[in-house]
Parts: sequence; structure tokens; C-alpha cells
Amino acid sequence: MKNSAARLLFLATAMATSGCAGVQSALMPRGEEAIEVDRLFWTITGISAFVTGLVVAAVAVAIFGPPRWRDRLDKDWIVWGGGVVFPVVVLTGVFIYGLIVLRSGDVRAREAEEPGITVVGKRWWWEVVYTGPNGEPVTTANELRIPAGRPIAIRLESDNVIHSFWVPRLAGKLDMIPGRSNVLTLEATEPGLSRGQCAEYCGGAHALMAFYVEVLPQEEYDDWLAHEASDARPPESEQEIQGQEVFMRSGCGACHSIRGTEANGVIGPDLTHLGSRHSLAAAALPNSKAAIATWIVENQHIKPENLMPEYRIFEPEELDAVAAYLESLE
Amino acid sequence: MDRLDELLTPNPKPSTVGTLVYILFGPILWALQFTLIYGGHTLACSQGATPAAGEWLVYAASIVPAVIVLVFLVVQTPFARILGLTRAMEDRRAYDRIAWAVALLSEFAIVWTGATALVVAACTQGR
Amino acid sequence: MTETTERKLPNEGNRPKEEVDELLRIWAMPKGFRLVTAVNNTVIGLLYIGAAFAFFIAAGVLALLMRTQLAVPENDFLSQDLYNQIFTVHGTTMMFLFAVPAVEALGVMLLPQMLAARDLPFPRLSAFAIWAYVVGGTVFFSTVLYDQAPKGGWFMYTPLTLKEFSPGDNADFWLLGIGFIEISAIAGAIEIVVGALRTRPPGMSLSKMPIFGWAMLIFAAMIMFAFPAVILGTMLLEIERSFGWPFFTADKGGDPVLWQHLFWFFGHPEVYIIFLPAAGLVSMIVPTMAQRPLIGYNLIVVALIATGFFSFGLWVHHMFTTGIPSLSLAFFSAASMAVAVPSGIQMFSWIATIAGSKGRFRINTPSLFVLGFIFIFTVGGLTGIMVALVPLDFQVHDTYFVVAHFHYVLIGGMVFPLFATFYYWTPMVAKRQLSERLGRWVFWLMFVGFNVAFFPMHITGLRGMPRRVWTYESGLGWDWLNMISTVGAYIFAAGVAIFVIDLFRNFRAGEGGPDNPWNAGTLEWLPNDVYSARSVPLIDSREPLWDHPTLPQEVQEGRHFLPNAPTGGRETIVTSAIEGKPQYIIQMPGPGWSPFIAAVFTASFFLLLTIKLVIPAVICAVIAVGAMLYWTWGLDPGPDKGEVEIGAGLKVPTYMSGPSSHSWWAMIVLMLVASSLYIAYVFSYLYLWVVSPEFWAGRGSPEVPDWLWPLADAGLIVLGTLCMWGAGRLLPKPGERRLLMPVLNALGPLLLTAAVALEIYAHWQTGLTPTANSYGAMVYMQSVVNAQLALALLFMGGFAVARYFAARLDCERRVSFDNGALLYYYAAGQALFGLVLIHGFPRMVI
Repeated sequence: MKNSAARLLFLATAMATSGCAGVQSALMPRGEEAIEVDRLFWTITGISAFVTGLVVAAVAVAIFGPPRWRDRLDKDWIVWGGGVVFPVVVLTGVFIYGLIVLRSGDVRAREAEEPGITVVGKRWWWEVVYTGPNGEPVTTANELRIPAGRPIAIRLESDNVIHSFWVPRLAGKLDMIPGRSNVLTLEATEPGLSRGQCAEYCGGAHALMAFYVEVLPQEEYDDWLAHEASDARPPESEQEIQGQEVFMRSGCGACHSIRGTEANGVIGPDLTHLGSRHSLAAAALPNSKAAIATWIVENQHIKPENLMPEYRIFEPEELDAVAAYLESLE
Repeated sequence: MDRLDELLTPNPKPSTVGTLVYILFGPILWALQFTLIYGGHTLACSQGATPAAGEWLVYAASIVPAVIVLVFLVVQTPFARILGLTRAMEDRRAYDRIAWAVALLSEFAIVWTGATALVVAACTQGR
Repeated sequence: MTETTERKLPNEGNRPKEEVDELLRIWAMPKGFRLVTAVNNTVIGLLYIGAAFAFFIAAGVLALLMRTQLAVPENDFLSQDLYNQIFTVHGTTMMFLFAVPAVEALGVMLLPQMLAARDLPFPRLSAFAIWAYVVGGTVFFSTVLYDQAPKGGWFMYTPLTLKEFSPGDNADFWLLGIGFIEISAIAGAIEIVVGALRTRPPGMSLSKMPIFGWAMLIFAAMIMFAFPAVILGTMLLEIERSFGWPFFTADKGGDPVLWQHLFWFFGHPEVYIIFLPAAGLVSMIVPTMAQRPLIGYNLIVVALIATGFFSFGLWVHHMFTTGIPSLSLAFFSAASMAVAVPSGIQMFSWIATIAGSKGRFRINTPSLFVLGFIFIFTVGGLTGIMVALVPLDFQVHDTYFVVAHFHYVLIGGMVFPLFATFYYWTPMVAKRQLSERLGRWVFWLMFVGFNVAFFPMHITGLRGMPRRVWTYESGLGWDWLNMISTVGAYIFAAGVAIFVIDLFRNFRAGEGGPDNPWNAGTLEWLPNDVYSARSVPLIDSREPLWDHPTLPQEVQEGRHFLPNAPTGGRETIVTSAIEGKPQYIIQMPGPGWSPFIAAVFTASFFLLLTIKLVIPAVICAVIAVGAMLYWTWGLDPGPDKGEVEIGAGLKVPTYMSGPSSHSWWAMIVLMLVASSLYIAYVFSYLYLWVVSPEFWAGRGSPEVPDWLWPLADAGLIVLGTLCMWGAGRLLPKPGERRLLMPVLNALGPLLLTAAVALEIYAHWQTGLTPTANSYGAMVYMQSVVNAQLALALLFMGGFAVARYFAARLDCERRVSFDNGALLYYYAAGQALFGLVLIHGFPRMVI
């Protein structure tokens, strides 16, 4: 048993440190909270490995040890020492460490400005509302961009079931609860891409409710936000113009908004700058023209129970045109 | 005395509820403290108390039970007498030891719970 | 250690052989299909554990289906909807239909044997609970076969489970399934509390009780305080689903998080409810394999008590990410630290005992499972400390890390001890032992398979994989970890499969197995038959079989207490709760159809109600109540049989009423359950007020009714209480009549019912409706809670009146009345407090 424990621990360490695909890994932190938790985690893991080793060794001695060793274990003080004194001392230390990390979250939250970004959990996607350069709300979906190097407060809400906002590389999760407004402070240490996912079971397509977070240098973020606040790019090519026409004619605008056009629905994700996002349908698909077309026709297959019906009414060229138009909305 | 005679000899009956309360003395105080500080902190914050007030509430609601349990740890016997345990009852020493050790664990719990306010600020979500 | 040969025994001289024949006749097991009428704990216990194990296998198959689906990314072996149903049913079945019933079954089966009692004090109650569980559980589980299964997770979070987001009956089936387990758990708790405290053998003081007895006692006490919260929660949820009272709807002043509080106030203690009995079993097996008494018996008792308490300070531990203020989270983190210490105590106590073995610690299948448990539970306990640290939990909460953690705790902490139990205690209930050779295969496959399946999940979770996902994208670093887990799951399943083979090959229920194959020291290894041990031994130590090697023979020869059946029926000795001094003999009922019929029709009632077939449901309810009345009519036998000698010249009564009687104790337990439920209600009321005071009376709702209303109401309640008090004083002498007594006894419950009705009307006339907002819902919910008690009291009152006219109720034979009166006083107190809360609180806070 001793060997198997040691092997398992070795394996754990090896696996944990050799991770390659870490966009959603808490073990590859790029945010202050995640880094603090990572440190806490490895500290406790070390202690735990030690304690496990101790227990395994004690059991081994108790069973196989020479009588003299066994006699030493066969005492009341072992129960008091191992069962009361040792745990109380270790736990007190661990507990205080945990509280200190907890407090530093509070300190970070105080440093952050009032939340300028609101993320609303939907079934099964994310609505993201920024405060634009002139204080106006700028709505987008399924992707979050934040500036690096300073604490950013994000308001988390839901108008349906409970979801949980989680970007493991930046911070721990926080729930989005109907009737409540939670605030989470993210402080990314460096620019880069991370992936997040809904962590509270929200029914149906819970498994396919993810999103990307892009951390940008402050100036790039400002430029991006200014662009995001602007209206959609008008269609240019013949095909894009046809695509827009089909989009409007087919009633897509009843659910989706494209700012600067007559499409102003609020049920589905805002599509104003769809083309500039990393993914489609809350990271269920990569973002490409072909994927957009597939989504329109087969979305119930790709992401069952999602609230958008499949549109199989289009001629192939119409579908192609809609996809081309949407992709062009950068 | 033979075991059978021992069993059949009538002696003053210890209080059943009293004995149980005696054994559970520490945890009961912990439970009171826990209810008070969790309920009190939540209520105080919802009524607009300042963080400082919230913290003092926690200290106050922790120190009192901590001291009572400490007294119990130092002098158990009067508690046992008040709760209706008898000197002659069987295995009295075992109950004394159990009650003492449970109270000790409860004392740790009370101190841990109360000490949180030394580190963490009251009445804030803190994320 | 005492001298073995010199001590005095309760019966000197030889006993007539006919006594054994009579015992065999009285305790005979019903044959053939009549087996369902059996109420004896050995039969019922086996059935119970068998059913629980069947659910373990069934839910395990679901687990394999899930692991198959998750073996590779973007798999489509299971559809999203089916997967969501399967994980819900897997969790619910494992927790509610396997784990709790399994440990309760062990309590029912082992506890009387360890106490050398003939049976538990309420055999029919056990039978009822078990059949309700078997029928209800089977119906619940089968929903997964025809696409009707709930899919809100075993935790059923609102608002996902409200009508709006979960239309259809699926969620109602969950509530149904839980309803049964609530009933059977409460019934079991009553049985076990009274059993452990009052049916110990003479001389077994509380501190000589086997550790398993302590574990079950604390288990039962925890059920009493934990289950009522989820009972209230499920009531609120079903009422909101069916009638739209907005307890959990944020727009109307409800709060989805209230459900989480109620659920986890039950849900976290639940984990320890499962673990403590298992730890108790380990504390029984370890000393036997070490051939020496447990080191630190007192400290283990301390650990069990402390765990029982501290586990009630952990529930928010599941809600660290809901946005609760961080200081509140810290309190719960502190309690989580506190609950870790007792586990350490037990761990080191076992290690010390192993080290102190006489010779070497014996290694065989049961002890291998115990050692496997020690390792797995240590790891699970340590990851438990990790998730108890608030910031760390922010990361790992709701990820596969937590899945790994709680499987380490639950499979390690409960399933491994359970398998140890199977191998260890089989000789007690069966004709031969299970195979040691197959047993080792079972252990190693399960142990290796378990670790291969669940250890990698820690890493999968840290790498960001959330729980309850039916599929995942490839390339996130989870692919091969999931594959390993799936392989491990199949290895684990192979171990379980071999165990099932072993069962089929070697398990033959019945008497005749080796009496004490492990040379254990506790009473369940006395030679026994259907009537349990021939005579109930005089106890002077914790391991009587070790201290008195002649004890089995003495017991078998009837040299101890109650070597016969002096009342001519089933009976056992009742002793005092602390010191274990003999007090009286309970006369217990034998086999009968009534518990079985009552259970089946109770189950049918709830089931038909779930699928909205109201009239057949009502018919079933009537049959169920009829069967219960028939069953209880035969109880309360009265003092006819006088006093009997149980040995050593000791004469004890065969009937007891008042505070010493077991039924009084059972009623107190039931009142504690009712009061926990009421406290959960008061918590909910205050909680919703904290969340949404803007809906309270005078702000978003009409003003509370005028003072006269509650005063009139209080008047009715006080009057009713006086009626019950008067009825108790007027109970006639045997053979005499006093007509005022039944009149008062009937009037009491009627006045209480009128008080509940008046309270409802008082609010109705102000224009308040239960569907308007959370305040209205809570105000009327108070009356629902009281109406339940009033309904029960109407039945009990009617029952007592009927017994009066049947000349079965008088000032001596009075338990039927006392039970109702006790519950009445409680109900009156609760209703009066309710008036103060509902009418006083809104006035106070405005």
C-alpha cells in the first residue's frame, strides 16, 4: 500500500505539471486570485502527501513492524498525539493561510472600480454588457475582454436558472443567481487567451456553455472597446448584402440584435461584432463561415435543447449568404 | 460485590437527560455560538451594520461560550452534579472523560470560528 | 477482567427443553409468500440490505454508462438529455436509495444482535419503512428506463427544478422518491434511538455499548435533526411546483438560495450520517482482527459525538461560491476544520489497536477492506480539508476534483467498510462464510479500480473540467485522464461483479453458520436462532465473549435473563437508558399483513398523486390508513399479564406507560423531528424576510390582521390544551366509564383544527394570498405545517375515543391516549409560537 500511494503521488505531480493544453487549467494561473489559490493548493497538497505517507507508514509498522516498534504505537498518546494535537496544530496553520488568501480577495475587490462589465447567464450562453467610452451600455456575447494588470470588477447576474461564471486561469468561480447581483474581481497578470465554462449545472446544454476570455494590454483594450461600441460594419460584397437581406426577411432580428440595422431582438446573443469572436454558440463551435451555416441548420444536433430553432428553410446560396454576412460583422 | 447483586441493588438513579446534556455540553455551546454568530452576522449586515459592529458581534458571541467551556474543562464536577449525575453511577469516570474531551474539541471549534473575524472583514462579499 | 467461573448467574440449574421449542414457535419465520408479513429484524434487515445493494448495483450500472460516455471527448454514446437523467438518478439512488438505507439496514440487522435483544422495539414500524422504501425506490429508479427520470441533479437546485424550467412530472418523481426515504429514515431513526437506549442487555451501561451502537445512536440523532430540513424543502418545492407559492422565485420575493440552505443543511450531515455507522463497523472489525479491545474507546465515542455535532456547521461549505459574505464563509470553513479532528482520532485509534494486536493483525478479506478504507478515507479526508478552504473551493467547487473528493469519502468511507461488513458478518446470518479466495480478488480489483478511476479526476478537475457535463471538447487536457478513469471504473465494476458471483455461490441465508468464526468479543457472535440469543446475558464489560469464554454456553443453556417467553409472545427486556438496569418487558407484535399493506398503499398513494390520478390516490390513502389503524389497534396490550420473572428472582412488569415507556420515548423523538422541521420553517421565514423585506406585511402585502384574530386563535388552542389535560385526568379506572373523557379527547383536536382554520381565514380576509409573494406563501405555509399536526391529532383523537368505547383505554392502559396528548401539547406550543411569529414579527420590524 505504501508503494502504491507513493506511485500515485508521483503520478499526480508528473501529470499536473506536464499539462500542455491549459487554457482552462487552474494549474496554469494567469490571474492574481488563481495564482494565490495555486500556491495554497500546492502547499496543502504537500502537507497532504506528508500526512498520507505518515498514515501509510504507521499502518505498515502497525501490521508488519517488529514488536518493539509496534509497542510504541500501541499507546493512548498515539491517539491523542496523532488524532488531536497534530491535526489541531496543522489545521490551525492551514486554516489561517486560507483566511489570509480569502482576505486578499477582499483587498483586491476594494481596489477595483465599480463594475463596468456585467455578464448575464443565459440558457446556455453568456450576455456581456460593457460600459462604452461614453458611458453607454455595449452589449455583446459569449466572450469577455479585459485589460491586464489591474483589478476589474464584473457584475454577475442571471434572469433564468443559476449559472456559475468560472475562468480557472484567472480566478475561482462565482454563481449567477436570479434576483441577486454578485461581483467578481478579476486581475489578469498578463495578456493572453483563457477559456471559461459554466460551473453550475443549469440543465439541458450545460456542458456546452463555455466562453473565451481575452486579456489585452490597456490601450488595445480601449481601442477594442471603442470598436465594439460602434455599430456593425455594413455589408459590402454582393453576397453580404444578400445575406443581410435574407437575415432581416427571415425574422432573425426578432431574437438577435445587430446594431445599426433593424435587427434589435434581445432573446438571443447580440451579433453586432460576431465575426471578431473566437467561437460560436458559447464555444460550442469554432468561428467560421462554414460553422455559422452549420449552426443555422443543425444547431439542435450540435447543442441540443438550445433555444434557437433549426432554420432549414434556406436555399443553399441563401444560407451561404447569411453565413458570409454574419462572418463579415467584425 | 458480585455483578448480579450490583445490578439488582437499587441506588440513586442518575438523570437520563442530564447525563446526555453533560456528555454533549461542549458541542451544545458550540452550536449556540455558531447559530448566534452566523445568524447575528447575517442579520446585522442586512440591517446595515458596519463591518466593525459585525466583527464585535462575533467576538462577543464567541468569548462567552469559550469561557464557559473553559470553565467546564477546568472544573467539571459541579456541572455533573447540577445535571443530576450521581457519584455511584456506573462508569462515571468514562462519562467524565468523554464529556471533557468533547468539550475540548468544541473549545477548538469555538476559538477557530470566533477567530475568523480577526482576519476576515465582516459584511462584505470580498471577491 | 473478572473471574469467569465464580460469578453468579441469573438462572442456576437446568432449564426445561420445552422453552426452546416455545421460543422457536413464537419467533418462527413465516414461510413462502407470507415472508412479506415478517417483521423480525433479521429477516427485515436482510431484505433491507439486499434491496439497498440492488440499488447500488443498478446505480453502478448507470455510472458505467456515464464513464463510457466520457471515455473519449465529443462522444455520442448517450444523448445529452439521457445523460442528464442518468447522472441525476445515479446520485439520487446512491445517496438516498443505497447509502442511507444500507447503513440503516445494518443498524436494524446488527444492533439487536449486538445488544442480544430479541428484536428492536417497533418491529412493524421497520417493516413498514422497508416496504415503503422498496416500492417507492423501485418506481423512482424505473423512471430512467422510460425517459421520465428527473434531470435536475440529485441536489435539485431551484429555479431549474421549478415548473417553468422543468415542466413534466420528472422532477416530481424525484420528490416522490425522496418522500419515501424521508419516511423510512425517520422511522428507522425512532427505532434505532429507542433500540440503542432502551433494549440493551442488563448491565450494559451506555459506556459499555459496542461502538457500533454509539455510531447508530448518533446516526439516528443526526437524522432527527437533518432530515426535517429537506422534508420542509421538498414540501416547499412541491407546493411551488403544484400551486405556485413563490418560495424560490426571485421576482416575487422568494430566493433560489433558500433551497440550497435547506437542502445542504440536510445534505452535509447526510455525508456523516452515512460515514459514522461505517466507521462504527470498522471499530468493531479492527479489535476482532487484532484480538484485543479497541484502544481509545472513549475517544472514539468523543469522535463520533463531535462529528455528529460539527457536521451541522458545514452546510454552507457547498455554497461557498454563491456570493455569501466572506466572513460567513469563514465560519463554515472553521467548522470544517473542527470536523476533521475527530476523523484523525478514529484513524489513530485504529492504527494503535492494529499495532497492539495479539500476535499479528490478521489479514483477510474483511481486514483488507478495512485497510483499503483507511487509505482511501485518509486521502478523501485530506482533499476534504482542501475544499473546506474557501479560496481553494472557489476553484475546485463543482469540478471533477470534488467528484474525486466525495467518491474518496463515500466509497472509501462507506462502501469499503460495507464490503468488509459483508465478509465479516455473513456467518452471523448465513449458513456459511463467503469465499476468502474470491474475496481477495474482489478487494484488489475494487481497490485498484477505485484509485485508477478516481485519483485522476482530481487532476481533471484542476485542469478545469466541470461536473455534470455530458461531453467535453478535446484538446483541453482532459482526454486521456478521462480514459484512465473509465478503465478504472470498469476494473472496480469487475470487483463488484465477482462479489455478486460469490454471493450466488456461497450466500445461503439462515441459521447454522459458524458461531464465532473470527473469535470476536461482542454479543452478536453468541449462538443464536430466530429468537436471537436463547437468554439475554448479564453484561459487565465491553467484550463479554472474551472476558467470559463460557458465556455462549451459559446463554445457550438459558442461564441468563429471559430464557423463556413468560408472556407467551414476542418480547424483549427494556433497560434504563444510562445504566442498563432491567425495567420491564415489551410485548411485541409478530408477523402481520398490515405493515406491508400500509406500506404498499402509502407508496401507491404518493405515486398516483405524482401522476395526478387523484381519485385512485385517495382510495389508496384510505386503504393505507385503514391498515395502519388495524395495525395500531393490536398494540398497547395493557397490564393484563402482570409481572413476570426474568431471572435472578427479578420480577418486572410486562406493560409500561408514562415517561419510562418506549412509546413515550418514541413520541419524544417524533416531537424532536417535528420541532426540527418547524425550526427549518422559522429559519426560512426569517431568511426570506432578510432577502426581501419589501414584500412583508404593510409594505408589499396587506397589514397583518387585527390583534383580536390571533388572540381568539390562541384562546382556541389553550382551550383545546385544557381539554386534553382534562381528558388525561378523567381517564377511568379499568372497567369504569366516564363519558366526559372521550368528549374532551375529541374536542381537543377539533379545537386545534378550528384554530388552524381561523388563522387561515384571518389572513385571507386581509386580501393576502399565498401565490402573491413570498410573504403570503410563508404565512400560509405556517398553517400547512400546523395543519399536518392537526390532521395527525384528529386521527389519534378518534383512535383514542374508539378505544375508549372498545374498553381498551383506561387509566392504566393509556399509551394510546398518552401518545396523542404528548403530540398535542407539542402542537399547541408550536401553534402558539407561530401566532407570535406571524403576527408579532411584522409589527416589530416595521
